[in-house]
Amino acid sequence: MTSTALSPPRRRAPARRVRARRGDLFWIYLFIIPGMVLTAMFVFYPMGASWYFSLTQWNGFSDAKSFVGLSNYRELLGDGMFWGSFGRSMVFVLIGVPLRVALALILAIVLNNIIRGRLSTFFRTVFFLPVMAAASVIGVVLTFVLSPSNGPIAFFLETTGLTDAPVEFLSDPHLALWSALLLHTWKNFGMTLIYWLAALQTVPSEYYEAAEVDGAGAVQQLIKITLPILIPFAVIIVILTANENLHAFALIQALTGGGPYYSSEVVEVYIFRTAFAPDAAGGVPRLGYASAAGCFFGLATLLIALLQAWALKLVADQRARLDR
Amino acid sequence: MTVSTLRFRRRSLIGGAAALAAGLSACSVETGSGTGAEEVAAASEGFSFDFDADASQATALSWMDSGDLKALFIDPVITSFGEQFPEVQVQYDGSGWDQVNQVVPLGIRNGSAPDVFALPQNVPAESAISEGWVQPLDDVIPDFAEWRAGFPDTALINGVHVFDGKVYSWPMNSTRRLDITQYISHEAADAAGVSTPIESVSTWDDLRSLAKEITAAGTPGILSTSDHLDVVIANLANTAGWLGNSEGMNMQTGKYEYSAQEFLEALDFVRSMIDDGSFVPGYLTLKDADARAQFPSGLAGISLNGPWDISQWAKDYPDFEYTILPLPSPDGSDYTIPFRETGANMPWLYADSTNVDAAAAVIKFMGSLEGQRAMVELTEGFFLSTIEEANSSADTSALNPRAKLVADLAATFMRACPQFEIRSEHAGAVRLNLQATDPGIAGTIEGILTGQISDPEAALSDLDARLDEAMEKAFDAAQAEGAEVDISQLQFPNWDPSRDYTAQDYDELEA
Repeated sequence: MTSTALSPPRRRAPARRVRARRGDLFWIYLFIIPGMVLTAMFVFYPMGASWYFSLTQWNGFSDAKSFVGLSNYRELLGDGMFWGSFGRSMVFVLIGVPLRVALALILAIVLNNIIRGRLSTFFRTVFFLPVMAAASVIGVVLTFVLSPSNGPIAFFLETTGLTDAPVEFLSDPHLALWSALLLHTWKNFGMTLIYWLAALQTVPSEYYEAAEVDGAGAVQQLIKITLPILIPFAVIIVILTANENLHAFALIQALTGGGPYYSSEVVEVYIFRTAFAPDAAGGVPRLGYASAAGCFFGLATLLIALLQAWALKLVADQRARLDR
Repeated sequence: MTVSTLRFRRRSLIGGAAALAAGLSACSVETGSGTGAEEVAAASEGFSFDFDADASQATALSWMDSGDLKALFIDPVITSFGEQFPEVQVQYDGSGWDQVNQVVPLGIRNGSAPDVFALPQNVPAESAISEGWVQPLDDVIPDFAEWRAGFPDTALINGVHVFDGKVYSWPMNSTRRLDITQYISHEAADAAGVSTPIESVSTWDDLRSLAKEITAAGTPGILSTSDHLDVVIANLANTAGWLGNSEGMNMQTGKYEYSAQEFLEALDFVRSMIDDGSFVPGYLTLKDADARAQFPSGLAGISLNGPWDISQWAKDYPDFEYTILPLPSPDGSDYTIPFRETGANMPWLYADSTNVDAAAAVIKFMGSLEGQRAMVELTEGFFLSTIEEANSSADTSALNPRAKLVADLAATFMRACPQFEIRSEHAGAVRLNLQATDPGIAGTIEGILTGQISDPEAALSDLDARLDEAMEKAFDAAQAEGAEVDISQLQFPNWDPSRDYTAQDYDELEA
């Protein structure tokens, strides 16, 4: 007896079902096409064009582009201004992400488990409101709020005797980046909070009831039940938050413009300045070079996201092994 | 009712929002605040304009620039043109630099650019010409040779207005205008026990002492923002005898001289006032527009800024009292500030305009003696013409006394320095190859004042070296492209900084 004889008889799908399936596929692809076209126009084409521009010397408005190969990338590797801004973007990720993710998780647990009802809804709304506002508008308003000469915060700090002199939150080079980071964290805090609240909804309440019966306290419930269940969500929340922290252009441009003396200049602001607003009389913009900076930064961002996903997955796997 | 009339009403309604928006926008050339319909109507009352052209081919005329003070002149002229040629629909958009920077390139790409426009700030004229954005005026302005002859010999400059022998634009107004003067608030000075009006603050020590007194009385002494702090220091250096022009180059040597002793002394002087605590806290992130708006309400006692503040204060704070003084020098002696007379607010004619005859008619009038005189009078003297007769023959009763004062100060202290662009018809090729130096003077000054740069002299020497190197590379690139230029053409050994450098001086140099 051959193996062929042992295999189950093939069942051919009825012709009517195949026709129906083809009909479904037609409509599916038809409705996908507009989205695909728009994505191609506004996502894939600009991405591809940026890679091409990064290999040229081009000012952005003339037809004359000269192909320079990897010259822009070589120059970029030795550009201290670029690496300075790159480092500041990394500060936004390495310090800003843990800060926001941890604070948002704590508040989410409080809102989910301790403060309930309308008060919880009220706080969720309050924390989410800044997310809804345009970053540039918030940035401009905050420059007035934080103004050391006549801003309300400076007035409060001085009249209450907390400070002797006005605090220059945005114009002190030692404070500007940290002020921008904290304001960016506050502005986007609500989004991370919503992620965590959604994740917390997935923890079955029966687990807590069983733990209570077994005599587990709140801390033990948090460590033994809540956090292990949330770890898979943490992967995506950290990646999303890191992505947001790498895109802080609008807020920083409105708050400090990257100053004073580049002390708060992150990569996006550097790219903007190089591409459109060089700091010198008579200099022409360098869109090709700025594109190289953008492509390089995009690759670095992708690498960071992959590393984050890998590291968090590693933690989750180890945790799962320990729990077995 | 013309389109422009409708627009004025809308603009009046959003005037408040525009003021805020002005604070959000970054302008490299400050020419003051916007203006409302009533002001334009009032300002243009009694003026009539004669347009010497046949505009029968045109159906519309659209004009776009950054607005500000020049709107006081352009708006009534274009409105008047629309009234004289009712078949031509006229529209003037003085919408700010942000709009110009975005709308003009988009309009060029889709063929709907305004008939006349200001070039976006980051587009060099050479690029606009080589890309075919604009067209020369030679063949479109009636009696062009006569019109051109109305300008002084050095007014139309190679690489600025003239390219390959063709005139593409013209200086609407003169750049002989002090970028920085002292504005001393009487309220702040009175509070410090200083009698007003203040007759003189003629030495650096005078300024420092006054700033200290005002600060001690509770109001920050000095208001100056990072937007133009480098210009303040450069002009103070000029008062100490520094020969650098607005780009930092000494035109006798053809080298950048930010590390010169006079510049370092001016820098030290500003740092001493900062160390005194006399500067407004947060000056490094304060924007010019916000500073201008807040100064009359007591932000500081002394503002170091340009004459464009005056018209906005007159409009928004008519009761604000202040003294206008020139910058002091180290010991009170006279000084000169070299400036590049390139002209300002240049309009450009769209290459694909279908309303060339209408645009040419308006441009011809604006560049004529009558048009330039009307500009001086309509801007109340805040704009001066490159045509001296237009300034001297303007009706003095139409001029704002404060504008007259700052114009007199400019005439006293400013002297036109030589320009490579006037000397070489291939200057545009060099300009197009000149790469930005990063950080430039503004960034370096910021780094020094915040203490992030510990050795100012070394940093400024490094900046000079980088600027000189960028210039040498630009010359090399221009030569490689076939331009007949030599870097020695940046040197003008016959320049006497105490007087204007004239066409005769250029001739003597070449002889």
